[in-house]
Amino acid sequence: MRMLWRLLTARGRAFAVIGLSAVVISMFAGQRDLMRVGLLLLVLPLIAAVLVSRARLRMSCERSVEPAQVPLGSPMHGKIILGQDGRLPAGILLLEDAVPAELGSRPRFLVDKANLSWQREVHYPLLGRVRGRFSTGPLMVRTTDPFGLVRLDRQFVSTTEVLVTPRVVPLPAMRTAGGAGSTGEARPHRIGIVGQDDALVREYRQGDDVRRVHWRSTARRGELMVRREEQALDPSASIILDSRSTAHAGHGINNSIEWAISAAASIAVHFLDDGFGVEIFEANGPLHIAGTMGQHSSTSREVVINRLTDLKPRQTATMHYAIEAASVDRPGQLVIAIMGRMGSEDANALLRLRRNRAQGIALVLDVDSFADQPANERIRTQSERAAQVLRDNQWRVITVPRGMSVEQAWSAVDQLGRVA
Amino acid sequence: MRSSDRSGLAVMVSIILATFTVVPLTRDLSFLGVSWALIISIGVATIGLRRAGLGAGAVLGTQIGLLAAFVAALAGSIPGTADTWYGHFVSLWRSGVEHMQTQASPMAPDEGVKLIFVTVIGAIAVLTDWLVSGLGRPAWAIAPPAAMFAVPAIGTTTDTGVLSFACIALGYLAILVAEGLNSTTRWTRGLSADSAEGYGTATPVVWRAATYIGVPALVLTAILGMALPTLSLPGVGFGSGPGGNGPLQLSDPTLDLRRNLNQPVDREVIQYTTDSPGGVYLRMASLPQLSSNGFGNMQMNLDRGTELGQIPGVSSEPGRRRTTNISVADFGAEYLPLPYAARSFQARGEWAYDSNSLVVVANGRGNRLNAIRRLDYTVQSVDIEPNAKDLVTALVGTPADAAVTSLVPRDLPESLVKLTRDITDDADTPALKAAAIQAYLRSPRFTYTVKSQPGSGYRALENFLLGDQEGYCEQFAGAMAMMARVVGIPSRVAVGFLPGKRDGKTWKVSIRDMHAWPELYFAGYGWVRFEPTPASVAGAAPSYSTQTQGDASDDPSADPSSGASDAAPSTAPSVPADSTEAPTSADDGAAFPWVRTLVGTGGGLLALLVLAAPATIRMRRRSSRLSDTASAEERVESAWAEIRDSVVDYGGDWPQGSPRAIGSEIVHRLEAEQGDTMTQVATLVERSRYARTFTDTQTLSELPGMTEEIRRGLAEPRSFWRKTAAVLLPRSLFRKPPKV
Repeated sequence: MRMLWRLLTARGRAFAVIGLSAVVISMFAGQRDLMRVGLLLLVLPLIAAVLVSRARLRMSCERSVEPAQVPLGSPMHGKIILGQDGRLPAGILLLEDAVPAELGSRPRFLVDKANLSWQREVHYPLLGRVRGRFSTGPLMVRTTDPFGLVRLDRQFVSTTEVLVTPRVVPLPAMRTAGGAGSTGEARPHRIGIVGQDDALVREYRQGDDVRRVHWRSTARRGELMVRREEQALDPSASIILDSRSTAHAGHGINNSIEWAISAAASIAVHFLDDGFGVEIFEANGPLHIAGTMGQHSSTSREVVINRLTDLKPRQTATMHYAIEAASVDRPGQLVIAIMGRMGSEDANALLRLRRNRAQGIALVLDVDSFADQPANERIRTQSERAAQVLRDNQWRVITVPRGMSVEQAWSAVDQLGRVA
Repeated sequence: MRSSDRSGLAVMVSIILATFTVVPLTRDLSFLGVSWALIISIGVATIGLRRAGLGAGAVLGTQIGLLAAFVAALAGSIPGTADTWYGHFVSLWRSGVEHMQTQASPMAPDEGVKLIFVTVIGAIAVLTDWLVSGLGRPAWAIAPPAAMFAVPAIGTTTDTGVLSFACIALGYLAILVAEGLNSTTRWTRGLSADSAEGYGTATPVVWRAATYIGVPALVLTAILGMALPTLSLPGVGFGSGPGGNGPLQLSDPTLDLRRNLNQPVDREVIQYTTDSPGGVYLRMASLPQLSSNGFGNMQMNLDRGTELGQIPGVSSEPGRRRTTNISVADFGAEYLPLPYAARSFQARGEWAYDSNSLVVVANGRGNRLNAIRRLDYTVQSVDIEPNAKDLVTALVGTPADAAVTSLVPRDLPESLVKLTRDITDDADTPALKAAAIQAYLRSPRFTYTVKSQPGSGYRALENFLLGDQEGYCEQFAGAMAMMARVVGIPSRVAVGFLPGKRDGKTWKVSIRDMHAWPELYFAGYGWVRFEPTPASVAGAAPSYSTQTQGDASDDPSADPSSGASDAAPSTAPSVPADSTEAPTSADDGAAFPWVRTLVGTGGGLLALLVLAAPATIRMRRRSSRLSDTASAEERVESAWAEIRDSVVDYGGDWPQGSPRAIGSEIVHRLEAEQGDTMTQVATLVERSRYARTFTDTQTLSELPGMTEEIRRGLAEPRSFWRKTAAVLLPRSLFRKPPKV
């Protein structure tokens, strides 16, 4: 009885209560005609509840979203294959797939066949409007009655994972940074990455660590050989990503932080493809992309995209943690800062950071152009002054307004390097 | 179809159905067509406006305007005397209200009432539409039609019946279904492709679900509505009934008469014992009002109590009290059959009496038409036996209700008056005139026949007195009462039973003893019974009534009712039911038990059907399992399933495991012979499931027989109740089938 009561909607409960009281009152008053009206109100929800609660569903549901991983702003489409085996209950079956609001509206459909068994395939569009990890589903089956008295919600268990990654754009090779540029650093050869046997070895010298003895070559050559020191040749780039929520503005997909993350991902992937070691430092610290030595670049690429997919805007007020972490990291040749609104202390911290680096590149976002309403004048001038400080210290600074693509910004940096 | 169209149509259907509920209030059904035209025009306009995208306020305004225009046009089409159109409208409205206040339902036709009905129905249509579409609260849409339904439901005492309720219920369900269709149509969204056809329309599913829920709900409501008792506690009631002070509606007793007398088989309806020699006339009702439709009921003022008031017109009440014990068999009426003049009675139930006629009617709630069915009661009465010699000189009295009982209608045909004058010319005193009339009617020139036309209206009386001179008790009684009025004697027609047949101490009254007789009022004696119906039917006339001029010294001690009836068929006297001026007019009692019987039978059949359903399903399942249409494996599996269900039916549980393990477990519950069969079947199942090829056609053909044998074996040791339960309520139907 209690279960039946729980099935009833507000209307169903009102019907039952009003009906019961009408029946009792008209019983005492001897008004059989009114008693019938009360009885109808009482009996309707009861029968509906009994019918709906007795109904067993034998349905199968197969679901998928294709593609399961998309860059931000790309469409996907979900597919549900629903099968019914056996008789349908005496209710109306309404189905709704639980789709997070970030991906679009929840698709709804209903069973319009009273046949015994059928299969049905439903497609619905999704749009990756927000970066992140989402799961669609489970599919909800609502059994209800045409009079709106009863509602029974049941769910399938299966869900589908969907990944909306930052947009990664291929960048042109930059001759002025990380290549055979003015700094004289060579593009790293692809060495020592295919397997142990390809390791470069040299003869043992006094003072070499015994742990670096390459026993296999030693056995072949008959004299003690050691693995060559490769680290000195290993080029790396540090990317400082301003992920402070206060430094960015704009709505949803047009938020400037999305541009920054997209740029960070593109640049990181670009350098990874060129064989660089890449580490990204965001407001709360490093993302640990180069956490393990000797990673294959495509694995690192996955790591970059995954970490940046999960990156949320931080409440942290300063870039302190990022800068600190970057300065204790192994010194690389290149530091690329992707900044939102900057203060003077941010600029100074960046200056400190470049002290032991060869090059500094800064992409400073014109956050106001991303926002609907510009911030006040003071913050604006502060940010401009900070950019100027960087410029004055031989950073290559590009101001990025809304509408400029990551690719354009990157080319502009290249241009700037050539001029310089 | 758009959702606004659907709602609009549903409201139209609902209100059109609801108009039927007020039909019992009036006898003029012309309001139906007019109000339908109004409902449809408002509905169509509403649908159009909603399609055009007008807001709720604009639609409501237009609806009200349309309603006003329609009502004004209707009023204009009714001829009237007022100068201005609004004066005309107001006067129509006022006359309608007055008509409703003065008339009992069903009312006589009146243009004002029609105007009021159409206006109210139109207003209810607008209100309902506003609730459904304007406010978006379709669940409330029951309120306006139910208000309309409540008027006849509360206003009249009798049950308005299931049909009237069904109209309301169906209309309401239509509105709810329309809303359900709308909401399911709105449900589908956000799909890019769907393999199903008829994308997004679930209309058949919604209708199917509505049928599955709505039909059982309506049937259950109808059954419960009849089965559930209604209490009648004094003082808590509302509406009209004993709790309130509203008028009771009495059925026309002549309708009861006609209905009961028309039954082809004579049967005993009343038994009584009395200390009054010669039995008593059991009077039920009294019809004092004469009109062109004959004698009919009039409004009575009912008093409660079992001690009846003073006998009207009797100067000195006779001392001798008679006690009569009456028991009624299977005969229903709301009038208590009593001897005249009853002084007090003891009967179960609530009763009230009219002090003018000493008629006692049921005053309780519920179906008053059954008030006397199987009732045993006792009554004390006195005999009104005027001394013949004194009666001759008695003067015509003036009873309390003389305005009715001595009224000679102005439209009484002259021929009847002239005939009366001719008959009574020779008589000097009122009593002698009455005797002359009675003698005239009892003369051989009148033929008693059951085949004559019913009624006691002017036309029937003219035909009876001046035409074919054939009739039965109603015409005899009516003719005498009418003639008595013409000569100035207040008169009325009583309806009841002849004394019946004596059987030892008991008197037995059969249904064909129903009778009508006139009562005439004489100063000092009150209402005195006369008997104009021929002796072959009604026996001898009372001695005081048979005097002729100069015969005043007739022996007064003669038994006034010595010639008790030998139950010759007295055909139904029949007064037309609709005496327009009678506020206590008849409700259509004749049709009611018919519907009730039908519904009752239907309900009973349905209940039987419900009870028989499990057994039927189980038997169908068994016969389909044991049929030899499927493939070999399937046949073995279904025989196995049948054995499993049988085990469950007879209260056992189905063991877990392989067929062989189950088989050996079940074998323990069976006799040796059936045990062997069980083992055989179990092996068969095993082979059919696991063998590479299965072609044991020989055993296969014996499978049904073997299954039956195992079933018998399972049933054998069980109790009778268990066996019955296994047939009527097989447990296997209500359980989820275990895995085989």
